[in-house]
Amino acid sequence: MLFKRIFAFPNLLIYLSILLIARYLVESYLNDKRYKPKLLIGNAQDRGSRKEQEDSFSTIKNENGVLAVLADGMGGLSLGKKASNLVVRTFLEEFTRTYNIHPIKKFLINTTYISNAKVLEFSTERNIGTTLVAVLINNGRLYWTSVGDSYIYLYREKELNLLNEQHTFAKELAVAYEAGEISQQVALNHPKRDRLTSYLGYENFYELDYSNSAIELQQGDKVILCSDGINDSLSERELEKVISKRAHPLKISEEILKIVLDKNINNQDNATVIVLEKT
Amino acid sequence: MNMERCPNGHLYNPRKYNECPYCDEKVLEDNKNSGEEESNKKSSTASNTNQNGAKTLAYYDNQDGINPVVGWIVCIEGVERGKDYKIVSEKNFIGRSEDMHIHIAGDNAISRRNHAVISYNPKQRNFMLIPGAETSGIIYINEEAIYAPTELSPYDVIEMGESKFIFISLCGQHFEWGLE
Repeated sequence: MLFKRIFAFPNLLIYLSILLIARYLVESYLNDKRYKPKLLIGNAQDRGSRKEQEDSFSTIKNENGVLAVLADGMGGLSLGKKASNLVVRTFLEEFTRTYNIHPIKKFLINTTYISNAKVLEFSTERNIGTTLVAVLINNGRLYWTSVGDSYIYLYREKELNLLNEQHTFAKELAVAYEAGEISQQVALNHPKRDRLTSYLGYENFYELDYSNSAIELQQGDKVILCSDGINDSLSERELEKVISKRAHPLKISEEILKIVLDKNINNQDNATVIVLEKT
Repeated sequence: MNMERCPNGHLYNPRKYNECPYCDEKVLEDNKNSGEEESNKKSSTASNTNQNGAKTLAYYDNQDGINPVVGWIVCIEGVERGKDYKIVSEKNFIGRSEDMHIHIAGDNAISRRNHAVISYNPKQRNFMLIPGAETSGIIYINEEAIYAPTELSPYDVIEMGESKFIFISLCGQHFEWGLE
């Protein structure tokens, strides 16, 4: 009797709809867990033994994905900082302003050119400039762009891969050496080896690296952005060792910085690192 | 892990820092005052020749980046008579090649690379002339041949190849670029 009463016509409808709603909620919850790739972010920065911090960095997350930017300014006084800050801010502004970024490659390249124009406008005949590395991760796909001598690494399956090329005179020396124009000694001991051949704030900068096609990130992949202050003071093997640890990216980046600072290198350059991990 | 993102997009651990340590450097320094002493010690023993963390500089800087001038040599005899060459802090390599710090064109008796080095030591505020090890030509200061690093004083006449240069200092006893 009771059974019949409970499942009588109007009640049955209510129960069924409650069940449907519950199912819908559970499903959408699982969807969130399953399909929204989670990205952990960490960063760390130190001035080294310089008077000024000329590196700038930032990360931002919205429906377009995750953007991480790192810039290493130059120009002395506080101008280097202002240049790198300007570039990072430009990237953040363009990223938040654009409702639906498509195509992403074009967005990164365009924003790089906009930043260059802004730095040039600000510099007006003073010798200032900045390097730039930026990565944008959208739906688990990695896009990047780079100017100058900052670094983007991808750590995958226990291997560290350098994604971008450094625009320094050393590269041109290597080409000249391979062509037989200069001796190895000259190539390795050139006084201007470390000078940048491309940077933002340079009127006709032509060397711009970017990802031609997106890199599909796998679970456990880590992306590392760092300025030359980190890279010059740390061997790739040391970096690999730290990055392989299972820890939150914030911990890892702090540890990378600690290793660099513990080396107590004279004349340590500004050091900045951002670590992203796909989980 | 609980993390905070500051308006400038820096991530930090709110349990460790009250506000973003990367926006205001003083916060960071207060938080690790032990490290502060160490870095002071470090800079006092720093050697000038360490290349390891060289400052980021552009290759296309005509004026050698932000490096301020500390002295000059002026050609008083030879092909480039009347031309001045800037000397910046620390080592300045002299040669005929365009990538030398002090690039002397036209005098074929000067080696292409590293004919000599003029070095300014900002700590002791003195200038030294170091003859290049691989050059056959002798360098004279005030008509005296030098074979080892020799200190330069203002208005010394340096003879290299078939040219003569007069040395003039800006930094030294009377003036030094401030630390900023």
